[in-house]
Amino acid sequence: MFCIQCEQTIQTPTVQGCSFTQGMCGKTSEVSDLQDVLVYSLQGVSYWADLARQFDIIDDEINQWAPKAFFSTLTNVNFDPERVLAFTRQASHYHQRLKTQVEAAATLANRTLEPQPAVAHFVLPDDADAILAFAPEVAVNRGKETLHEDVIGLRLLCLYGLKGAAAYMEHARVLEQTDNAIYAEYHEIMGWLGRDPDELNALLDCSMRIGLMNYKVMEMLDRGETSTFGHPVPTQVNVKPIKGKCILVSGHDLHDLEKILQQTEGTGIQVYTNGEMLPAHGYPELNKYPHLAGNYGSAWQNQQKEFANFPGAIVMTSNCLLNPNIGQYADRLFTRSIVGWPGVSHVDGDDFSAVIDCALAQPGFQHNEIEQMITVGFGHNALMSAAPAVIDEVKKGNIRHFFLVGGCDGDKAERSYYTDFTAQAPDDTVILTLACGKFRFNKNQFGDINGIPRLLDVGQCNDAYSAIQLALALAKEFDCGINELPLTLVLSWFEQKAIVILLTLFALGVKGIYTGPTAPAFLTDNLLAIIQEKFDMRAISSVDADMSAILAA
Amino acid sequence: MFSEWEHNQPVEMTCIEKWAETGDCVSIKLAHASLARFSFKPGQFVTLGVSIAGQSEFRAYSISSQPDEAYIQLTVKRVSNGKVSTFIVDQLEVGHSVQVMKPSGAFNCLDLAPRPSEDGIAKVLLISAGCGITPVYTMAQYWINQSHPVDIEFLHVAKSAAHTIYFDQLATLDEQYAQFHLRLLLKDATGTPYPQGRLTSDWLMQRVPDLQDRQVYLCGPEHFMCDVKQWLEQAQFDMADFHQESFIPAATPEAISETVHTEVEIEVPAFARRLTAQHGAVLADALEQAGLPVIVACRSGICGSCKCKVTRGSVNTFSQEALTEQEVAQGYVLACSSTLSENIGVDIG
Repeated sequence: MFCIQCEQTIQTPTVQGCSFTQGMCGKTSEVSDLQDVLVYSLQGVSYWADLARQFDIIDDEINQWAPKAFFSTLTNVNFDPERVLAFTRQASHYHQRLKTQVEAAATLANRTLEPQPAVAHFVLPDDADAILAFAPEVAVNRGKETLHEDVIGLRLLCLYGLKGAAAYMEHARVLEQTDNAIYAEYHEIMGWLGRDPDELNALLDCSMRIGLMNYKVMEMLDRGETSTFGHPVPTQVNVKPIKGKCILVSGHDLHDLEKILQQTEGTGIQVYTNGEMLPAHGYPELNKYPHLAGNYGSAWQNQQKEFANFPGAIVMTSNCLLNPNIGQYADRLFTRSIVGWPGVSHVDGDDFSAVIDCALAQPGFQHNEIEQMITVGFGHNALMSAAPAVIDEVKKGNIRHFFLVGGCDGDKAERSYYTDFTAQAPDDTVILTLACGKFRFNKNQFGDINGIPRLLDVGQCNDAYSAIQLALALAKEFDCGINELPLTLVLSWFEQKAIVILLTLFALGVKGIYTGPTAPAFLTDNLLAIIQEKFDMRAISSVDADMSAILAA
Repeated sequence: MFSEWEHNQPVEMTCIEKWAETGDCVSIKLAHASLARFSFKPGQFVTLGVSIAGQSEFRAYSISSQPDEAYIQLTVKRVSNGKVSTFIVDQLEVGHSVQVMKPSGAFNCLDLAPRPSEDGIAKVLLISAGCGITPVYTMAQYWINQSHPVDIEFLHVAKSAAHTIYFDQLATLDEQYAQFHLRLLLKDATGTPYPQGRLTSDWLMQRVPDLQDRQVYLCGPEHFMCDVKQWLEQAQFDMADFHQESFIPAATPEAISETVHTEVEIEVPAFARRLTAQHGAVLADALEQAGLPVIVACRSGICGSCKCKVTRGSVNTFSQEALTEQEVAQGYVLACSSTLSENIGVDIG
């Protein structure tokens, strides 16, 4: 086993990355090894898909499936070796299909194909044991004995960044957003990574390409969400439960939430959002359901306690999933899409009746707790319509600085930094937030500046797109570059979507971003130095020091 | 009083001074940063623990300092083939740490306070040989320092003047204090005014004519004490006035053996190592501190890097997350999530 993709990977003076029996996320070495073979298989599929385009062969089924399969290897998504094997065998099947098609087309066109790299003629062994035995050959850090560590580090930056983009591509696809140009770019990069590139400049360029590609993916995803559910509007959300049977929906997939809301109408069941599902309340097409009762719980790392205390059925639509046996709620948990845990019920298709039956069999909340309201829904439309007022306050000197404090939450004690940072942000500053890092402070009071709330919840992690739109609008209004704006990004990361968002921001030229709580373990000292030099990326230190540095500038 | 001493646990103390009393005897001073005054009854002993070749050894030594000092002083004579006495005389250095159990023993001048006669003065006979001088010397010093009305006959048997521990101090006491009478008997008295010879019943009766009026405190080698006791019995001495040191504390022997074993032994055959660690310590810490090649990556019972097989004995485990059922059945544990409670044998990796 070797995995180094998340923020809680093992980092000691002698050990970097998770390489023993279990990863820190709880995935076994078996699952990790199978995932490595899956990723390699997907690189083979992409190699052929990329080549196939030259012969005008475009396979929609494979295009739409491949990013989803890649998404299944994201942190805290799938812990079930059987599911990983199923994806891998499907990849092998698609690999064969494309290879056959391309070879046939080449023959027809009288073209000889170039000699194929290993990833292109790789044949998946039949037997699970043989697949496991093969896994070390395709470890993500293969070649480390002979290659410079910076090469490995950049390969991982590209691979993990592309994985984050693949996750957003899948979310977009669920909302019927696809784009052949984006698929083409995805296959080209994924196939190239499968050929083990070792040139530093090419890898650096690739990482920027992935960042730009992801900007287009986030734009596509935003289009899918807003065209399906309307543009988010500022909405009050109750973060306390009310009496009644209940279903909890966690993860990022708004489509699943809609289906559950539709199928629970009239059942008396209250539906709650959890974690990254909180922004759903801002969408008119979802908020219109009166039995969308509120939000329950906080960020992913608290789920084992929060889910254990939730007296209903739970649906996990994407990451992050943790071991449900700890809180003993595995029998009332349902996974969707790429998510899986051995023994936990998986819902394929849009029929949620098993979930509903489960919720009805649970006790439900026994009382109405006293309401506590927070505000969500500051998507880019809401931000744009507020922009004139905001710009006015900036010109009057009532707002002197904007912070974007968000990103993934996690377990580490150092993440209290984000609570403290927002608490210490001066009264004449505005805080935008997104993703589950918001739960470090989103139930605190921040007041307002002449009617403009000081805390603006922009949405999910992919709604970084909205934050970027606001920044671009402000830059245009103040006739300056994005980096001359009184705007500082203070981002927390944990998994690969956060990595790709960072690549997008770099690719767009955003500089001076504060990242934390730690630097990615797969970035070597040299690579960190390069990133610091090119993009002025800063590690968080103490709130006092960072706040003074930011406001003094 | 240290809370450890209240629970019969040893306290780690540091040797702050060491000097030679004779050619084969040293005195050491032991102190602890958080105790300014050591209380004990003169004549009592402490059980001292030292680490020799990775193993803990405990021996009892009488305290040779006075109560209420900022240290306790022990006087240790090399016993031939004696592991601990040799270690203390030859190897223990200032700055080294030792384990010290609380002062103990019924043989002390407070619990066994001498009764005064009609004239108000208590008469005592302190008999000692070799290193047995320590407790009775401490008692004598105590009576003198506290100006207790005690008339002291101090009978000590030694090989020579050079072998006499506290020789100078004894001569000074004899000179300065009317109530202190030194009766030194040397095997080789050359160059000294002291009598030469071995102690016999006759010599004893002659040297201490008012023996029957005195209370006797005896300390020395086993056979020596045996002989003296026999002579007194034969002389119809009132044995109620006879006290001898036995180094058995007030607590029962079982209690001593329990409290002394606060360390456990870890045997690692593959590396031919035997380590000791504290009861309750984490196995991974003990192995790492011993320089053994155990990988401890996550230190939270998740990753499985510190997997070890316990081949003998058992540990207390609070996480088995990274172990299969089979491994658990075979005795594998996660070292970072296991604490020691008894002696064990372990295979690393």
